[in-house]
Amino acid sequence: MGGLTWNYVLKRVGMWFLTIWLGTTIIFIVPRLAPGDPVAAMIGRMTAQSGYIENAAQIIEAWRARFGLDQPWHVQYLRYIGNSLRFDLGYSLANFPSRVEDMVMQALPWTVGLLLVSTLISFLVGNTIGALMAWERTPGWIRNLLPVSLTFTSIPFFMLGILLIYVFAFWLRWLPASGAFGRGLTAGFNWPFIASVIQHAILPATAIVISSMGFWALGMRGMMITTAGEDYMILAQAKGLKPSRIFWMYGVRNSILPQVTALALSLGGIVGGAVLVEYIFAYPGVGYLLYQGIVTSDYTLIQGIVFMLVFTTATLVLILDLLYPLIDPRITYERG
Amino acid sequence: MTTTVQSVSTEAQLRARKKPRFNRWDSPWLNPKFLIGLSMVLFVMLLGPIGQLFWDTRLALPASSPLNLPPPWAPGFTSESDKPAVQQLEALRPRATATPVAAEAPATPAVSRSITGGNPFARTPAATGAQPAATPARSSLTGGNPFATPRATESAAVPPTTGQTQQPRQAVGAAAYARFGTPTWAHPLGTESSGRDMLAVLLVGAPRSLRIGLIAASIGMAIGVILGFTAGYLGGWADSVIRTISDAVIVIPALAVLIVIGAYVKVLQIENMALLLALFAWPGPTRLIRAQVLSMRERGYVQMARISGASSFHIMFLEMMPNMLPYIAASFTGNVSAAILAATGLEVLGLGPTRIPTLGMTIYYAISAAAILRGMWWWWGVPIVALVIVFSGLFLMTVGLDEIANPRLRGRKVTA
Repeated sequence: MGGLTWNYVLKRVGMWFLTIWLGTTIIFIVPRLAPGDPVAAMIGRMTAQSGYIENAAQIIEAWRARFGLDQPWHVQYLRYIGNSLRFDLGYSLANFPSRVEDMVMQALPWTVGLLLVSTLISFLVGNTIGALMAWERTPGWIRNLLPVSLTFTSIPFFMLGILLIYVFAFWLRWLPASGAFGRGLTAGFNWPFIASVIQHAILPATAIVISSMGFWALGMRGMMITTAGEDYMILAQAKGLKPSRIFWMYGVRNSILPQVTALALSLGGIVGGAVLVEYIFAYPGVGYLLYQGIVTSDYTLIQGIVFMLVFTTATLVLILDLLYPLIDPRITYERG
Repeated sequence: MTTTVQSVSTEAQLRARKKPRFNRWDSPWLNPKFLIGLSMVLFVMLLGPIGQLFWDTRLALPASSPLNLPPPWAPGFTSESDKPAVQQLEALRPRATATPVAAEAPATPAVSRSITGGNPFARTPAATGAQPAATPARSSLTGGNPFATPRATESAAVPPTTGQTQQPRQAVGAAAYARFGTPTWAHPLGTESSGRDMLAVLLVGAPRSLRIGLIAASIGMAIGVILGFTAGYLGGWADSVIRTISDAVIVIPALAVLIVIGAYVKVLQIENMALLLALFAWPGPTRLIRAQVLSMRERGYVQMARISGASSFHIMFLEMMPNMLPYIAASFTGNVSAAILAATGLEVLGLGPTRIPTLGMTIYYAISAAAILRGMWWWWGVPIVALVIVFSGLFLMTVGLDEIANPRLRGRKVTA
């Protein structure tokens, strides 16, 4: 297994802890920077936005006890970290009896599904396009076509989402504009439901794929130009290998590694962008839940979701890091 | 013999290839992508100062321009959801009686008062019966909005209700909406539901959105340069601490954490927003500059400077920095783009400065008013087009600067 040494694994896991700790700490500090009692401030803002709240005093008391606000700040901090690590995210302020972790868990599969599929597609398609752009044997018409497809690169996910809704949902009426499945369908493993889910996912997934594709294509093009000058490429040609084999097994195989690193680094941005896409499409994932939290001033929900997002992203990066030695056997992680 | 011919031809090729290099205008900085991108960004940036000379930016304030909302009794307002309400309203209308001819019958002021629900404020002078008999019914269609009158009169000339209910309802509803606030000569980019003129919003908002990005990226860049040089040049424990922290921060989904901060700290000013964004704008430059410093530290000219006794400061900022300028610039434009993206992201969720129009807030208002499904393309289209110009310009600049920094990327035939 090449470079997958204990030392490397330990370091990566250490980074994973550090990332989650930093994220959690920021989430802990920010509410306390605001003057006054955070719980009272929360309730106060909720009252200001949504009118009278029943038993506000009791809620404040309950939360004070829960946070241990009468105790010194380091006790509060340790308790907060402990709660977070046990995924005890507390009760939602706006939908009181339901717990934040349950709400997040309900929404998470939608987000993970949408993101996983669209990121994979855009990674594969984008890298292929980028490799083709730098490949000498690419037919001229493809080469002229590709930069056109990259013009969408600079448009953020959610703006493309708005354009897609306008064209395909409002104007042409081909695809639904919002939601994850049709009304009146029971969730389950039946064909109408699955078909409806796919139909609803097409637009948001397209938005993510098209606007993130160019990023991969550009990076790949740069790497591929470097790789094309290597001696082993000339040797492969001299050996008389099939061009497709040279392209995939020699060119792409050797250029893809930095792209995987880039994927790990950009996951945070992709997650952030997906939050907005879900909001635009009213897709019932974590991003939409987050928006509802903002609208209702549900601070525990917002904090819980952001903690989950930080946690998920860090974990995905850890997985990618641990897979990396498997695809790149050259590197032994002495400096990592 | 063949060899000599070949060598001659290659020499000629070489000469032909080298020739433009002696042209003193042929600087790598004259990269077409970079220049096009730069001019796009400058165009948006200059919209503010130059646009003020030609257009009244006070129109960007709420209620300074006509609303684009049609009154509920406007023809074609029907949609599936508010059908009963519209039927009730139509029952009140004189023209909604079974025979369309009744609409042409003289409508008394009493009837038109019933349309406005007896609300004295809803009546315009036209609706009080000061005009010829047939007009009150028509002007009541505009809901007392004097700006909408000519269009509504046009539509009132079409035989009413019966004909319209047979058409697809939603399409009719959207068409009716689309008539209100559409671009006219008085308001070239249309108006929105709170009565802002979109051209004025564009002139005021676009440079502001750009400024947020510039401030945030500058702060991030400054921190990145300092930390990157420290880490790369000093090495040792400083390097490992800086690298570890920046590696950890880069993984955190910045937008999500910014949303928490934005939800607690109500952002009121553009500068505060930029400071917030700078929190997450430094790890990228830090990593990049550290890597560059590491690779440059062993170059001949740096060692030469070190041997000749130059101070660390001199080596860092006078020897290495100029050579890294294209990298730094590429990273900077990329960062400006990322900061604007994060800023618009926050604003689109409604967490931006509410008192000053920015492009992101405009999109937020448009989405909350369901402008997409009401067909009011100018409302969300204007800010999006402006942002797309900014993003494409910055993107082109980044690509161009990358090519300046790394001549390999310029490619032979691949210059697209």
